[in-house]
Amino acid sequence: MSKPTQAAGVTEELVFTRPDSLADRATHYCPGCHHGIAHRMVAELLDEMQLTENTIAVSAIGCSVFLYNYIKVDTVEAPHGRAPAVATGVKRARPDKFVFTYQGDGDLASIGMAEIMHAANRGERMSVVFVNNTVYGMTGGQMAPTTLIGQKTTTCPGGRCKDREGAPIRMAELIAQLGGTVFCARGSLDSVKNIRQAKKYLRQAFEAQTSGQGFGFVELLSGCPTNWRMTPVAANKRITEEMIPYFPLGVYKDLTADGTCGSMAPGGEK
Amino acid sequence: MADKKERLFVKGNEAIAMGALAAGCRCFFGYPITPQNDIPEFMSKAIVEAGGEFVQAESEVAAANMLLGAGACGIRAMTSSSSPGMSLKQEAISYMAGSEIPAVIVNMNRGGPGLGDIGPSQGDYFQSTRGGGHGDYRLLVLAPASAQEAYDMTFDAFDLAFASKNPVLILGDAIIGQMKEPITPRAPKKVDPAEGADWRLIGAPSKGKGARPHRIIKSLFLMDGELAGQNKKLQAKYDAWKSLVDFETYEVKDADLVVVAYGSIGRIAKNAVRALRAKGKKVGLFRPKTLYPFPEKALEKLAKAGKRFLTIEHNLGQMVEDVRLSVRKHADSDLFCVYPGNMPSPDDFEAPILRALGRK
Amino acid sequence: MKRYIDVIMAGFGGQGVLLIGNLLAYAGMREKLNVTYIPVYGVEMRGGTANCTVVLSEEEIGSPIIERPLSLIVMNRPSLDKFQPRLKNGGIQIVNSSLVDPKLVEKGNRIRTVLVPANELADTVGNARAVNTIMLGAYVAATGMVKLETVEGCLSAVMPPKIVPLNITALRAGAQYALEQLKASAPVKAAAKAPAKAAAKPAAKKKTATRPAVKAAPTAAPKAAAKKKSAGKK
Repeated sequence: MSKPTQAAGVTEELVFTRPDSLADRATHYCPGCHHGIAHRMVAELLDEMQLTENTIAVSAIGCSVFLYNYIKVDTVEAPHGRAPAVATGVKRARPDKFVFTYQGDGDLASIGMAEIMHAANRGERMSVVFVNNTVYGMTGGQMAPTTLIGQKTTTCPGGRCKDREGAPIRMAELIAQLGGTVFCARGSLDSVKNIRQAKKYLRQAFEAQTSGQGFGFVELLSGCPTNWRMTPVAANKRITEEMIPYFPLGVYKDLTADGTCGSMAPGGEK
Repeated sequence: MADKKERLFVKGNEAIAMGALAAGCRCFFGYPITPQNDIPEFMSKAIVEAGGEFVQAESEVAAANMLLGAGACGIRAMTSSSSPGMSLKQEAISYMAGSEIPAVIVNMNRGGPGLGDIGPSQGDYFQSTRGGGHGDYRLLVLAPASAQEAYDMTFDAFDLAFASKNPVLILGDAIIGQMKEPITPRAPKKVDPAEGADWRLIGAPSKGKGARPHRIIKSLFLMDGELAGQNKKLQAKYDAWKSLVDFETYEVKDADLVVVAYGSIGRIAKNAVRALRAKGKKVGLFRPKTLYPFPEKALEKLAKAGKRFLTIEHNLGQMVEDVRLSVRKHADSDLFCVYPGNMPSPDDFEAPILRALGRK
Repeated sequence: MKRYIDVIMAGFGGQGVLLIGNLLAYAGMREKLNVTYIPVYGVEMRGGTANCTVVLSEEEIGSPIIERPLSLIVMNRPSLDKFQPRLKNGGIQIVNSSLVDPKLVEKGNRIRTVLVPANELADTVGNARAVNTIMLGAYVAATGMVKLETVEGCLSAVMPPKIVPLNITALRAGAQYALEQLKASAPVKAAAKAPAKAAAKPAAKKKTATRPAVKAAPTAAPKAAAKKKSAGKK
């Protein structure tokens, strides 16, 4: 932060600034959407870890399709679900670059399920930012693989029913099971405390790549007030009260430090 | 004539892989499917020994997307597959064309539709020459008829892909892939490390010599007029390819009937044409080597000179449409189909050629 | 008259049919001929029939796939059933009489057959697995398209150096056997150089495609002996 400045009898102190990697423009995201926070966290880390100039990002299909307008790094746009495969190509072509994908739950857990599982299993040296808001945002609120039981969406208007639609998929737990995964965690963006913890998880995932160890994955529980048909405050509350119990927060695998094998979900549930 | 002592005896599939390596291909992404497995198998060892990367992807979809990623970084990369796998790749290919990413894609055409069989066919001609996926785009399509051509065309494909920032397709078939023939390899290319420096993704320095704003490689164009502009740009590129048209002619000068055939069928038809010439029949062969751009002007010229045409292909009639379009001002083309699932034989071609010759 | 021959070699997967196809092709290449080789592959390779087609020619080769070949190497019975009818009129086939009942060989003058008890010959030369090279040796001698020495010189291109000498022996044994068949005119020969297992050899109708000067009168095969021999093998 800059020092207090003096100008015409007024003291200014810059206490909050935009990360260098974040473009100086307003985003198109909805009020209460957490993409803004997630983008910011990624940009801050790229600055702090001095990765920006050496980064190639792979953007995905969803509300975050315009990631490349907000995070100022060389970016290639991947078809829906294929970002981990595109990122594999990028990282194999340019192994010395920092490569990350940024995907929503439809992109990553539905059409892209094979690609994310195999990139993780191969242990590709990349980092995946997974924004989970339990719904297809950009296309107007359809059911996603992470939609909760009983949650109403435009394609399960009566509420998701386990018998018909199956249970919501817990991606962090799944990815932690795969051989190439070095770091896997789930954070949440519903509170300041959780945001700070989530950023720490992101850093660890990024470090799994920069240290050359392997695949890093962080799931971020996020809100979608528009498609949940809630106010931003109510949407935040839903994350705290409904999503976190089903998608427990914590580290699911961490081989970065001393090679200890990953733990079970901190909530005790497997 | 090449010194036969230095020749290697290899399958067409192997020739393709060798040609790619010699051209500086350093990433290969593939998936098993008959009849092209020799390509990923060869690459899994050879490209790694050359310091490159090999990934057997989880699917042909994934492999094509890996190719997209590597190409976006300006690295010479390739994928190979056969018909059913090619259908899977179409999405990524459309994205590569729309995003202007160079790549080399190999299709060893087998019988279709669906799972078909593992024998040769030319049933993917439409898919190959009409883009193949969604939207208005084209691939540069090269059709080898021998192991040497398979080697040479793949060798040249990378330069062509980078020069036009577009995918290039090598269209072979099970015969070309599985047949062993002697080839003469070429001296390996020295790839300029600054290839694609003006567009590739490599990290955006904010200060110093290479300082520049960040780059975005995408195919999404939502603003007013943007997509139309992009499409115009692509079409101009494809128009410029006309200078790359290539074909082989055999005994066409005084021919009354010209057989038009490509790839393995072109080669087999040459046998039939040669045999009929020995019997005094005035027939010739026109073998396109680029299927897109199609050698329409050369065919039109032959039509204007009064020749008639018989298209022979290993499908139910695909290239014949392009032949008819090319000669439409002066002539038409007859068609003889070898059905996918059947094996072509020069013996089978004589009767249709004579019939077409006899027709006025 | 330009040199040209095409051959389909057929057996079951594991009989080494593809190896000898490659070998013949290499020999053709070394003698500066144009060559193509194409195997049957994929699904058909898993324990089913295996076959390959080799074309050697002084001129540019058009089709690598030959519907009606000029010559055949037949390693087992299903291959005889499949390919014998396709052999061109005046064509020649080398048939492994250890596994193929000579009674199944087409009679008459349409085609010519050289019966070679390849499995027994392989045992004789001490290399039970060299059945395929025995057959190739016989083929090379019978057709004369390439020199046997050329083929011997190409062995290291298709197999590890360790087993090359054994295969040279096998090639020569097969070649010699075929030459003897071509020279034979008497219906029943005295016991062969081979030990007791190999009984009287069946004579074969022979005339090679490229040696019009070599003629042998067709002789009746000693069928009883042949039947006993082939019955003793799987």
